[in-house]
Amino acid sequence: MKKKAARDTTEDGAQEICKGLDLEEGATIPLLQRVQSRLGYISPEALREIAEAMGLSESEVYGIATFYSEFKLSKPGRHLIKICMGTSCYLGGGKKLLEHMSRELGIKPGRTTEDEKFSLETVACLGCCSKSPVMAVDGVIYGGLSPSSAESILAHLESEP
Amino acid sequence: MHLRIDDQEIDVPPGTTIKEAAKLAGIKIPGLCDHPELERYGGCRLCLVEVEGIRGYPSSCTMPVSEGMKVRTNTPALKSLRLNILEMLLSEHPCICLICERSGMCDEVREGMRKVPQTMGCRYCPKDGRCELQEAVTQIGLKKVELCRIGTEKEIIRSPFFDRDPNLCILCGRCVRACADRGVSAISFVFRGFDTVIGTAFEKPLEDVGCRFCGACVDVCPTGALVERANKWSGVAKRVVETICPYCSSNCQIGIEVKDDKILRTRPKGSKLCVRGRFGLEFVSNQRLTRPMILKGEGLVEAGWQEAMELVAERLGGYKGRRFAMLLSGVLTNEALRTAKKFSERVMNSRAVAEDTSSDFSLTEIIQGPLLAVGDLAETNPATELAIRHSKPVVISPFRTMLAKKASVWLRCRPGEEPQVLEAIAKASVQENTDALGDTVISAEEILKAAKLLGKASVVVGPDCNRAVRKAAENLVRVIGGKLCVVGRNCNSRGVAVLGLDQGYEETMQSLMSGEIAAAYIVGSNPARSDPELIESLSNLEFLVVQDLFLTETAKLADVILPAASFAEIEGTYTSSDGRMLQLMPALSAISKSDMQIISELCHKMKGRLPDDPASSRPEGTKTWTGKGQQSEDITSSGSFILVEGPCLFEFGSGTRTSRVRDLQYLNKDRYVDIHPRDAARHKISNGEPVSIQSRGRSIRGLARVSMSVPEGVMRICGRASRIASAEVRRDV
Ligand code: SF4
Ligand code: SF4
Ligand code: FES
Ligand code: FES
Repeated sequence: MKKKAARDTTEDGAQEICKGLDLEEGATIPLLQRVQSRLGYISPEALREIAEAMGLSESEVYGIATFYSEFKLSKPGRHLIKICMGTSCYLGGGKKLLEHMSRELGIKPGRTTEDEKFSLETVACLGCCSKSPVMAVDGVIYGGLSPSSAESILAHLESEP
Repeated sequence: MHLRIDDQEIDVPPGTTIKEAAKLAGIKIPGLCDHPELERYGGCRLCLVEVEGIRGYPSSCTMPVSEGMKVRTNTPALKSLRLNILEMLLSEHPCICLICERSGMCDEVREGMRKVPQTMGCRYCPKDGRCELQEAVTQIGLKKVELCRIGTEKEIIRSPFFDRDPNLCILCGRCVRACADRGVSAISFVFRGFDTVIGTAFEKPLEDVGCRFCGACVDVCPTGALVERANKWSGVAKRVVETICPYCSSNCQIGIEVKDDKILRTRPKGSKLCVRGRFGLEFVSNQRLTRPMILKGEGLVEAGWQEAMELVAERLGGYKGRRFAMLLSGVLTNEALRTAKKFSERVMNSRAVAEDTSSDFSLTEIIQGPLLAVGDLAETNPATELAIRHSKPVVISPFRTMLAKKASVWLRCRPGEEPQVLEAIAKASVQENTDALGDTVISAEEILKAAKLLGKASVVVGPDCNRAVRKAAENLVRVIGGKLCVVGRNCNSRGVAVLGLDQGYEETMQSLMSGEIAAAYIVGSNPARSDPELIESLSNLEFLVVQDLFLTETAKLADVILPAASFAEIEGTYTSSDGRMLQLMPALSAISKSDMQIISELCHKMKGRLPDDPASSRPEGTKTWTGKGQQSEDITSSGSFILVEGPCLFEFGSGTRTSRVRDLQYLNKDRYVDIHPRDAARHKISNGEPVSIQSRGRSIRGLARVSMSVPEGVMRICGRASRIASAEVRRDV
């Protein structure tokens, strides 16, 4: 029941945000920005509203939203995991780390787990190249990681309520 | 415009692209992203040319010709550019087989065609032999790919009717443009850079983003990225038979690809097919009847033709005159209809009727002038709708249909108000003042605005409109001096009308319900399914013959069932709405005799027998037929809701054939109830939630689809199954 109430507010919210905007050509991006600043991300319902308002299809709007990295398309999780894909980390095993974490969490980068606990993202360089591969969890940097050590960091978080 | 391409001088009309001009001159420039039916794009860069006086290498598929242009299409510089571009393209595509020096010779040593679920190279690609990438490699003469393969394996996306293998996609964007061209845009380029793929919003399944499964994307895809799933690995067809789609009266030309006496796939032939013509022909080899059946004791048992025909001839002989009725339909060929008419009139001294009609009009002519459209043509007659969409008609509809979205004026009436709106337009076109335009929700200004556009207009009435709408349209046409275009339901609706078989259907139904009719012969229609209220009368008949492809709901009530051949097995003609004879060609060997053949054999058997006295009085205390499919009767309001049933693209007519197409059945598995967002919010219904609707003591279950396409206070159910539920509607969830 609680979950449903939450969904309803999102829907209404999206509708409200889209209401009264002037819908000239090219207004899609400002609309997306507006939604993101209110909701923190672009929800499927909000995307539908924007499509409706702009006379575009949902997929077209999604295409625009995914083109710009500024837009988040899933609700941010309680913990944000950023894995570095900068040159040094990439060469130092960052790719493998990312693949491992992505499999572990069951989500692609840019997404949030179903229980809304973790979001996974990639970044270009965290400025700690000497410690590659590097991952940041909620702003805390961990370096010299192996897939299993990264996993245990997560396990620690996961045991939290 | 005059120009020179390589060594050829050629004249072409202005606006032609260099590539098109070259083609006219017999010079083939390679290219993978352009397509004659699609918007110009210029993405793959394989069609580069050199133009004297222009720096760089313009893409010939986008650059229009200009006077005196001098073009070179095959210089060494161009050749090496193309080689590089193609090589780069192939670094993201399985290609070993394309450039293998023994390419084409490995067939003999190949073992186990498919051990892996993914395409590893061309020999293992479902498009092998039909792939444009293969062509380009040959044409450009690429021999080796030295760049290492990049990109990761991506998952194959399955949807009804076709699969998308992103690993084979070259991102030419043809499918995206084809989808936009149909006004759907279910797919789009999503993400960017290396991650770019063709996808849907939030990776939702196609059916959830409005895809109508017309297959246009599959038709234009140059590679194996998009292929039909049915017979995916059966390779190239042995022959292509050009014939006519057996569904709606748009009469699309189709090419049936045949191999081993099986339909591999259907392709458009200068037509824009919808899902039914493109993917919906599987029924011809699904659950077909092959032998006649006779009711013996409690059940139907198979019998020989001889026995069945003797029985029919003998029993029907006893019902000549008004106790006999023949029910036909617009799916039959002219030849079958004509023979049946002769049979019922000359042999049975009665009449044949069909619930079907169509007026005579030419689509290509009417789209030149002003248009008014009523009915949801995108669901009933998609190709017709596509054709008239571009001339921006005035649309009368409570729903935001595909056509309403493109309308010049959209008169959004309440359900059932269509006749009044038509009347109002008629009034407005003869009087100047805005009063007395009738009592509809549409403002007088809008009516006047529409009326101004509609002098001498053609009024297009879809097959989902009831008689009141047709009448009002007829009247309007008289007033404005326009043309009435009643769009037929079936492929040969016009043939039915030309033979006059559309006359007297309702009276015949009355006599059926009243018991006046004691024997009936039903060919190619399934009233027990489309009209469940007729079941009782049909089962009370003394003798019922049903001739059909399947053991239909109606056939189950029969005394004798005669199996007929399908449209794909026979020769014959349909009449188009503009009166042309469209030729059917047999693509498969016949499973049974054609309708015409069966009926004419029966004619022969029965001729010479003396007609009996027409007679037998009408039994007492009978019911009357109330009619069906009539919008006004299907609409009832209670509390704040009006319930309307709308036609559904995926379920054609009674659904007899479409229910025998697997993926169409899948698309029909959930019944959707469209509901306005505000109504949904008020009743706390969210998108996709199951709802149940109480009606006449029955309850209809469905999934709510929150959508602005229905007006507030109205719910719409898609498809036929709702027909049982046209009464009081109350929401109880
Ligand atoms: S799926 Fe086919 S048509 Fe669509 S972009 Fe890929 S290769 Fe082109
Ligand atoms: S529009 Fe009509 S005739 Fe054309 S493919 Fe669809 S059902 Fe067949
Ligand atoms: S490359 Fe990873 S921190 Fe710089
Ligand atoms: S065919 Fe011209 S750019 Fe692709």
